[in-house]
Amino acid sequence: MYRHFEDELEDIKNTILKMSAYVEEEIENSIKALKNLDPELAKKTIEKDREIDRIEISVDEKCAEIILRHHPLAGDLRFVLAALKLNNDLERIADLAVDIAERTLEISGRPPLKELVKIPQLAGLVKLMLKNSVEAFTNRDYELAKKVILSDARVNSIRDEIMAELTENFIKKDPAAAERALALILISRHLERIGDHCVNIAEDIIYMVSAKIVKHHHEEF
Amino acid sequence: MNKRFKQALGFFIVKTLVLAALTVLAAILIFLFAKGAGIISWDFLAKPPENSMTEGGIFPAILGTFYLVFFSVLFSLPPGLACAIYLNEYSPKGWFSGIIRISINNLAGVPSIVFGLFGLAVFVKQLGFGVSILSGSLTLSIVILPLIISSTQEALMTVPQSIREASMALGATKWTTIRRIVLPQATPSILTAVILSIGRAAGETAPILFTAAVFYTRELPKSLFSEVMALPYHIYALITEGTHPETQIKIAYGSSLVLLFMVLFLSMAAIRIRQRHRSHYDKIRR
Amino acid sequence: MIKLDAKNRTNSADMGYTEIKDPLNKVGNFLPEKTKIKAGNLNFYYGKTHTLKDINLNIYEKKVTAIIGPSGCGKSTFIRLLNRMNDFVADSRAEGEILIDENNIFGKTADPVEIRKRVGMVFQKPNPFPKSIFDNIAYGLEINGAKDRFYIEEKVVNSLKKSALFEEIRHRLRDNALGLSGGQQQRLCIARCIAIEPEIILFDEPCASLDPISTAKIEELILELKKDYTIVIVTHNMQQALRVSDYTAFFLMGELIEYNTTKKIFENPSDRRTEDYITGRFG
Repeated sequence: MYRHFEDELEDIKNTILKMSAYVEEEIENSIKALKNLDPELAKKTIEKDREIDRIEISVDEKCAEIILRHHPLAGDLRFVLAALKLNNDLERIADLAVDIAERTLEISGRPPLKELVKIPQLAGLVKLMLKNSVEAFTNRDYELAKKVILSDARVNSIRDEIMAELTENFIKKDPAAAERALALILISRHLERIGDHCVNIAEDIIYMVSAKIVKHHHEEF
Repeated sequence: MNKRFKQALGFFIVKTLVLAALTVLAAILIFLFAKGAGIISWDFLAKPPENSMTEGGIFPAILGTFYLVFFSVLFSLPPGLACAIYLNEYSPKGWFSGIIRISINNLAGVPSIVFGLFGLAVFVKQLGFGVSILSGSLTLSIVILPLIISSTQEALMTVPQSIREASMALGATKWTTIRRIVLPQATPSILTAVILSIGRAAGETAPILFTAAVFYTRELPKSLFSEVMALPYHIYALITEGTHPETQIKIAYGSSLVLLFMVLFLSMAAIRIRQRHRSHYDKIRR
Repeated sequence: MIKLDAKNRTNSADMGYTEIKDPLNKVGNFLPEKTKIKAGNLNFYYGKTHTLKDINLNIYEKKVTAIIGPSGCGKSTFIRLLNRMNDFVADSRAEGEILIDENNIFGKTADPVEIRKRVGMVFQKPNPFPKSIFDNIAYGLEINGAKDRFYIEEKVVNSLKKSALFEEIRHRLRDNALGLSGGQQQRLCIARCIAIEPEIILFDEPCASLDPISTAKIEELILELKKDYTIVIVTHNMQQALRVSDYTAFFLMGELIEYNTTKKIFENPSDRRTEDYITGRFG
């Protein structure tokens, strides 16, 4: 039996996939702008966030409507609940990319502090986490979501390394470089926060797939 | 022919037929009134016949018919109810109840003179009740039994299954449910059956011909074993026997009118009881 | 008619109950519930049709158990077995056992009339007797031996209060019950049922013919009655099962497919067929 309800669920899924593609692009662009100290690209990144905000609102509306009209149950209910939360996390990730772009704008007029090594590495890691969690959402992949959650520890340790290094080498030694170093520290923190949101997404996917609530006790697996 | 014309034609045919039926009914009434109303007086109703049926009244016949109707309904109602309850509530399916059902239907189709002969053989002779109210009303009760059974059965069928279930689900036995829920609900329809059987019992001549009725008796019945005069037989006798046809025919028409009103009166009494019952039970239904 | 097969008796340990996995509420299989009704290898045949197939199910005391499933899945047949209303179905036969407080209701000494006093029933269509409101309730008391007028009156008023009907009809106790609205009639049927103090109440789609407000009142009443009675409700309405029940059983073509807490059944059913049914993808 053909049902319009299925189309509506599919529509929500597609909108979220579209949104996540935009969000991945945002992270990509913000990091590229940072590496090249490119103010134009940074501005473009900030601009693009408005589009994502619009999509976020439309997903909220679609989810509210489907709950209102269809009272989804079982797997459908878990899908809609996960979609609502995913939507929220993706929008927050886009905001963090905007934050990175803003930090880039602050330091873009000045000479680079150093060759960036660990920040691009961190950025690559969180981008992979985002990519994996979106893929886990598309394929309802429990194992991949689990992998995303487990990789969060690595992200945290890289961020710690970056902060320690910048504090030791610049903030403590050279007051003139402190401002630029602080911007980089903040960027590493933004990237780490993106990783946290990816973990949230992965947890919601695990709930969606298995109805298990793994939040706040990852020792479960 | 268009649809509208067909409809008009259909209504016309139906109306004409209804009118025809009413005309026949009215004709009978008018005929009876015209021929018989003249003779009716207080004396006619309250006095016994005199002077070899050419004068006096028909009181013994009225009383006789009343007794016969009363006792025949009294005798047929309990077994009739029991039979209908058994058929409808206890054994709705199966070969045994099938046989009973067929027998009842056949009983309804037996000509009434056969009942008369049966009554003569069994009640009058075999059981030695003689020509009496008892023999006559027992015979009549067999005549009206199929009517009472089938009408009661239909009445029981109209009681919804859902309220039977409601009663059973409260821990009532089947018998309690029948006695306290089903029968009260079915009573108005059962009373309708009684009304119909009153008319039947009052009007039958053949079954009482050999079992209860006599052409003439000056004495009013003293017990169930008394022979009686009865209106239908009285009318029959006035027309076919006797020596003064001119005066007897007038009395016959008067008696017919009285019989008609007697059936009407007895039915009215039952209808009154039914309505009081209905207003108690379905005052607000639908 | 009822065949009791001693070999079919089943151990009570883990019958018909799917394990509950819920990380926030690690009660697992050891819920502190007391079993009130226990169906063991229950089969029902109507003519040659096998309408219930090997049903094993525990119904817990003072809980609401919902039975859901498509039309003709045997759910009504199942609850009608619990008070032996199916005794009246011609050409039918039940096998296996139903234990209420450990006593087999199909046992040789079991009296269906006694069982129906303990297991009340509310039907799909409100079916008050064509009597006064008062007599509707008094009837059940009288047939069960109550004679004292004061006692009966008190009982009538109490059960009307319990079924949240008394305030609406307190001045109309002598009126014909058929003059009440559908929802009021159904609450009268509930009052009639609780007046004789059963232990279990069976509801066979009690709101099928009622408007949403009457439905809400009946549902509220069920939640209230749960404090004193074990309740089994057959319903076509998933939302209703969700709102009122603690446990839900899903029947399909005479089989018990899945039985678990209502939350588990409607959030994450274990069986594909359950999920298809409750999400409307059935058939």
